[in-house]
Amino acid sequence: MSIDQPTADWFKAPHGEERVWIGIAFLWCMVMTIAMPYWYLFGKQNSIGESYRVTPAEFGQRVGRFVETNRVGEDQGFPVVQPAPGGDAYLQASMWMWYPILKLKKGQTYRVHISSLDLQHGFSLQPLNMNFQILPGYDHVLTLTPTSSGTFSIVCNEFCGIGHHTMTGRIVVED
Amino acid sequence: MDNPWLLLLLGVLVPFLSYTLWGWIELARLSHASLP
Repeated sequence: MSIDQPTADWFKAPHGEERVWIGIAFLWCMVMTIAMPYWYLFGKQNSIGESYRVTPAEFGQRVGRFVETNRVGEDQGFPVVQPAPGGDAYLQASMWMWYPILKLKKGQTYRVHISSLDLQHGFSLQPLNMNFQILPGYDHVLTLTPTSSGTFSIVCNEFCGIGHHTMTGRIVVED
Repeated sequence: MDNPWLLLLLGVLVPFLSYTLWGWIELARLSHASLP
């Protein structure tokens, strides 16, 4: 047999400083374990990973209807779309753009549906610490309440091809 | 817990249950998007 068992008396119980080190490491593990559900329950605006199945074609069509019904302007060839407060907004990722530009109101809650039409992209809202993987075939829903106004850039932070570095978008938040 | 074969089994089974199987179940439970 290539794997040998250790001899029967191999175990020496930890003592002294070894017990202290193991105890500290164990306590910290417990802190981190409890921190995970605590932050989910009591932290601010944590995504629960709400997702649904969707085909890229279905999602693309829904984004098209969303843009048609909520369009308020245009910026550099991209439609600027203002969803109803408390309502649903749609954002599609594709090589190599985020479509459309969303115009939101500060303090209002939106359900932002994001999906990809082709391959995996990364939604990263700058300069905030908001980063989500966006996959084709899944409608990812973020329940989002903007807390500050301004123009926020979206960058793709999952390599998606030769134009990946140009894949930027925008979310505009008004007072 | 000295048995290397038991350790091998646990080393494969526990991550499989907690990651792979859990993931499969989550994916199977995904409902279709209503796109309201």
